[in-house]
Amino acid sequence: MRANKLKLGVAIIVIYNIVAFIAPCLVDEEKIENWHNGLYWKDNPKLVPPSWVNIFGKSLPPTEELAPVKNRPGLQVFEYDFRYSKPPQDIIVKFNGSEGRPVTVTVTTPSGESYRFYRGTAGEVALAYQWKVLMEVAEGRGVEFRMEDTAFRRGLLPLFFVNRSGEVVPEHGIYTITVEGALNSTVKIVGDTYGVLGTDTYGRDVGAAFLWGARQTVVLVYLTAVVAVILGTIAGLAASLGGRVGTVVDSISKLSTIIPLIPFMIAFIPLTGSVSYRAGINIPAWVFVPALAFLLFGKIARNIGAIVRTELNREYVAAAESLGADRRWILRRHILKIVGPYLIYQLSLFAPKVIALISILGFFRVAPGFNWGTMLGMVLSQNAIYSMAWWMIVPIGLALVVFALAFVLINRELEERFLSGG
Amino acid sequence: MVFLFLFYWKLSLFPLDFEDTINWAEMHGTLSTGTYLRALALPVLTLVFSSLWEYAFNVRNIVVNERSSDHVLYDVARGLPEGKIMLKLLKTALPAFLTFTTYNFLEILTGMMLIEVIFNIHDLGYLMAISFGLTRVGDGFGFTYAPELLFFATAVMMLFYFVNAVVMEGLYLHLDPRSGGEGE
Repeated sequence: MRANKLKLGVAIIVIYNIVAFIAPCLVDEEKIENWHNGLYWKDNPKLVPPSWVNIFGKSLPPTEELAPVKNRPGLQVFEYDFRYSKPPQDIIVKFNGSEGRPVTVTVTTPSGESYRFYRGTAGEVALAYQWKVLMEVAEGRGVEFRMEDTAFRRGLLPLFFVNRSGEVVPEHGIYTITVEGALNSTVKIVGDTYGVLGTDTYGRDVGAAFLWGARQTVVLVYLTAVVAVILGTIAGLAASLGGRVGTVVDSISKLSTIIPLIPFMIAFIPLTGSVSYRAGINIPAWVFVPALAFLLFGKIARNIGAIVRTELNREYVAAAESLGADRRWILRRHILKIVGPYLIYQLSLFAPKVIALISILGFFRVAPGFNWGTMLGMVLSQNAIYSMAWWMIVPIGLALVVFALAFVLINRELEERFLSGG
Repeated sequence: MVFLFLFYWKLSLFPLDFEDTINWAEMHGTLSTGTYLRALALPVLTLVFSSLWEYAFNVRNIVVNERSSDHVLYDVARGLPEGKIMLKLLKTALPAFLTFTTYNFLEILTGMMLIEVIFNIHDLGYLMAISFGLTRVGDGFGFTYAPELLFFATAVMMLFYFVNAVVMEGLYLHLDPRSGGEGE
């Protein structure tokens, strides 16, 4: 069981490291660069769950780009296989016209009814906003339709549903979208699900942010924990030496333990950071990491100091000193060997704290850069909890909890070994 | 997350937004102590259960360490009932636990502030959260910063910390058998 804990903890950390290393390569960087650019995300469905919810009994249309089944200048044909319980929110057709010639967009239902949705030169048409056509479609198919239905994501209901014996039911099958008169065109189905982690209230890809933020989160956690442990070790050793330097270092360590972390970090952002043109908080890692480490190292210094003081009271130290050994030499030669393994224990103890802190900073919307803390800030600013957008909260929460759990498992294992002297 | 899911999303038992609940009750003339208690139920439950494990684990560690000490072995040899031994162990663990609580008080306060932000309770955490924010500046973004709000919240936080430290130290002196305060 003991070995299992350690193995599991290490395995989780290795997986996180691998994911953190490769994840940003899986994300289109353009999405992150345009994270705060509303226009970039305008064609995405807003606040929809991930596509895989359909595996668990839902039947929601996913967001997808259709590939043309016929593609030549002047005529593109797309086929959409509709087999869901809700209509897609919208169908966006984009095209390049030729020399002002009008482009026609027609949709043919599985039962063979054909509706001309658009004829013009605009370059883009959203079918859910073609109210006049939709009214005609609704009348022909016996479905009730109002303009405001578009705002409630039901604009295309008349097209994808039909009245059969007084009951409005979905008409499943292949819908054909024909674009005539354009040099080339694209068709995007704006569904009720999106990607691996859904979208937020602006239609942004939560999965892309999750993957992109993984590397910075992991790096920040490691760097802060390592710097805090190094600072704490040096302070703990120095304080146990006594003298003027020891007293000063000890006082600084004590100060570190009583500085309230969150207010300090909030005050720290306007002093050292800046806000990018696209609303990201920028603080250089070389400023942020030591600042956070400084607020954490006090407790480590106290723990290390306690161990060092216990060791310095042992007989072998008295024997060494009676033979003329210098305290610093004893610290270097003997005490560091004892403190060494304990540092790994401290690292495993403080890494989950750093993870929690990054999350808390996110909730106070002061997480710098682009990490999972930043995403937790989004949860609050967009009221994801109130709108029950679980896909914005659960994956990120789970990812942080499992990461922290890995360190806790290692920590428990090391603690058991220390207690049993193994 | 579990509480949110169970009590708000699934059972709709407790409200999530403290201020909204109070304002709504005020507008409809139904505001009472019960409204406050109901609105505070979920934040308090979340705070208690998120901190509980650390404290339980700490007490467990102290009790486990103390269990192997001579005086406990003597009590076991004397045949004292398990309940009585456990009571003595908890009494022995109390001073060490108080020290732990003193050092962790800032973390509890931080947790409380976070809960205030999540559940929209307009208190210290809220002041702290609104002391820094992003705002539109021209075409881009800049930050708004209200240091007076931040420093006020921090000052109150530190005041709580020192009051707690003084009370805990006093209790420690009273409870720790080595200080001679016990049984006076």
